[in-house]
Amino acid sequence: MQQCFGVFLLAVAAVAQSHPDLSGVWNGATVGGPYIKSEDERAALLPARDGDLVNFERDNALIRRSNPNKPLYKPEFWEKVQKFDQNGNTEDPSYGCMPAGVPRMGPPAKIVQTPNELILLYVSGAAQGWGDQYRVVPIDGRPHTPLQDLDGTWKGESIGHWEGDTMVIDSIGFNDTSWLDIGGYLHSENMHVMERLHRDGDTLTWQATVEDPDVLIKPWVMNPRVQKLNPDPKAVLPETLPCSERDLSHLVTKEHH
Amino acid sequence: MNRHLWGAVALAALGASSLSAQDATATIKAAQYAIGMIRGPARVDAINTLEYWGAGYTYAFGQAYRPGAPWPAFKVSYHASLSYSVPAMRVDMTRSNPDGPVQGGGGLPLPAPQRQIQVVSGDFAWNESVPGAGFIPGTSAVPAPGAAGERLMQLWSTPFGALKMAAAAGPKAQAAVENGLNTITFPLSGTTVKITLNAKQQVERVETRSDNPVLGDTITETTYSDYQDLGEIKTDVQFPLHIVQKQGGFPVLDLTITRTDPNNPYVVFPVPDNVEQAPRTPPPVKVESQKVADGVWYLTGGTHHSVAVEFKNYIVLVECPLNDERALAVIDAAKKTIRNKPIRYVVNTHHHFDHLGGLRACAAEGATILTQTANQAYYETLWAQPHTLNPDRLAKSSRKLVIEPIGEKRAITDGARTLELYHLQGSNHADTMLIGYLPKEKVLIEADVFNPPAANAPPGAVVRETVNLSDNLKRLKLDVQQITPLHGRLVGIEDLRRAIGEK
Repeated sequence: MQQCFGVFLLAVAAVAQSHPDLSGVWNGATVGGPYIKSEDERAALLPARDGDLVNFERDNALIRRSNPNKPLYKPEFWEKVQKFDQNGNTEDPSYGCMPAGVPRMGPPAKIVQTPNELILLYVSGAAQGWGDQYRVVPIDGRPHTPLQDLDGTWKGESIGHWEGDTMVIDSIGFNDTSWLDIGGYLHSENMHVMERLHRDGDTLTWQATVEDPDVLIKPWVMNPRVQKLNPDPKAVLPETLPCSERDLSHLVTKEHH
Repeated sequence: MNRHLWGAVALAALGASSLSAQDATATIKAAQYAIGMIRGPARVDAINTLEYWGAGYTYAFGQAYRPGAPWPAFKVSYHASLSYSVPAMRVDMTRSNPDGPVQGGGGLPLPAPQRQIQVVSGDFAWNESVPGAGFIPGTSAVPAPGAAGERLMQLWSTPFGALKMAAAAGPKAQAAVENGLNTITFPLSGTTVKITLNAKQQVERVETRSDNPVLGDTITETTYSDYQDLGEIKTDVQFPLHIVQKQGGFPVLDLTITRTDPNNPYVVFPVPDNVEQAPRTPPPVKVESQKVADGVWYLTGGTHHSVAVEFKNYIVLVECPLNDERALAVIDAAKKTIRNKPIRYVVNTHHHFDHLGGLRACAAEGATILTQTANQAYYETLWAQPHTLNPDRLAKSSRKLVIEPIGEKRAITDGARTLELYHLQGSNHADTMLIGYLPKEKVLIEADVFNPPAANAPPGAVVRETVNLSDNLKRLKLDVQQITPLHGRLVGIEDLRRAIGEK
């Protein structure tokens, strides 16, 4: 019997070790897209229509909003989403230095994986909300705290588990202040988010599914985002400057910056 | 011409064709750039969703007061929201009566302003009682499966939509220069779309082609002018201040745009369950035969009815409505009801397209068309037009159109039975309206001027056209007992009196 038990433990350990290691710096400070190797490459992406940098922001605002993958809200929320959308400079919590929250904060910039938890590190930016963020995600098989016992937060309570080679992070217990994305995409406190992280070599794919039957007709599967492993062994995450909103009073149009 | 020269000509022809496709790509890009679609260093088409608001007029296509006259107008407030990626479009409009005298069909005059919300999303089309109906308790989404193609064509006729589809056509898009203006033609949904650009390379006109039972190959021409950035949030996206759409040579839409949101606003088009589960094709045409009196049958089913009258050696059919399909079903029902007799005459009550659409099929049957005198020249002009997109029964036959015009009165009789046809005076619905009367059977046949509501429905407002019908019956001293309306149900003269408030 002892021998059998030993074989069983070895088997469990083998299974545990068979999961991919997600640890690494994924994209450093960049947001989505390919890993940018140089300032020249970054500069090459900046020119806009007519080669005029003045058009850069207006063009990118339009492109950013052209994503055809939109959450399907119940009709009673359409007007509210549109109002938030049209008044993004004042309504978007992220533009008021608030955290983006899950899932808007997207994939982590760095992952530290231990047998019992994932430590996810985020660097700030307009799209991810401000302030360096972190999440500690247990992956030890514990259940969620009952929803009624959770205080609603920006990141909610996240618990991870493996589905094959994919890490699934299941989160509940949110406030209803954050947005799902630019565009006024509101949600309720009953939101349930499932993030999937899958490593394939030096590529990490992140995708989130949002369930929120209070406001959505059906779950919203966000576009996947692919992160490249930063090959620099000395790569570090840059420190974020404190966010202080000082621009709003100077804006003269409703263009969402 | 020697062999080498032929080779050179062939190469030149190939070169011209290839050059034309290359030109088309450049012309399309230039037009997309001119109206602000192309953005960023990657030069991507950044327009996906759009909203615009306007006011002006819609017109009731095929419902003119007089044959050959412009379509009658409704005043309209108009709000369109659309997504090119779904593809989908929601048109939310409120129609009201125009200023001044109201003449013509299409529901005019409206008893009250009328809101219509028409949606298409992919292959699904439906009408909403409010935006998002079907997902809100107490609201209704009514499937309109037959409308999806036409509504999508409206989407692809917008300036951005036309250029997107031209780009998607790839090498099948062809560029040319006509009258000094660039044009792009490309195939779409079995027809050809033509875009004409203005001097600034903005889309000035989009022409699409479709089949219409009356007009045959029908051009829908939409013109766009006075491009501006009309958004509250400035995007540099240019949208026309003025939109005019014509069908059959007359406007069907004339809008002045007051506001746009081309900044990819949040607009969505979820398909309600009942729409998704509804049959995708219209139900089969059904004709039911109901005996009204000896030799008189009411051929009902669907929205438009007909009446078959038996004479000694032939049948007279009153109305071949809608289209070939309906007309053929009516012909079949008439022949099964009254066996071994040909349909010699078909009475056309008036020139509105819903009552005229099946007439070509009845002409192909060999029947002589009886219609009001003012219609003759109009019908002869209409029926000379090509029907190549969807050749109908008449286009495939060698029959010639035979019209016998009716001035104010005509009687058809075999000695035993008589059908009298009268030109209705004083109608604001149609200037060419005929009514039928069977004196021995005391049966009246009429279209559009008295549409009886469902039995036990509460009485509605008095309709002027129904009062006018009653006045005509008195003027003509017709002793009517039963009425076979070509919309509605078989009723008695007392129903007509009740409808106009007479005891």
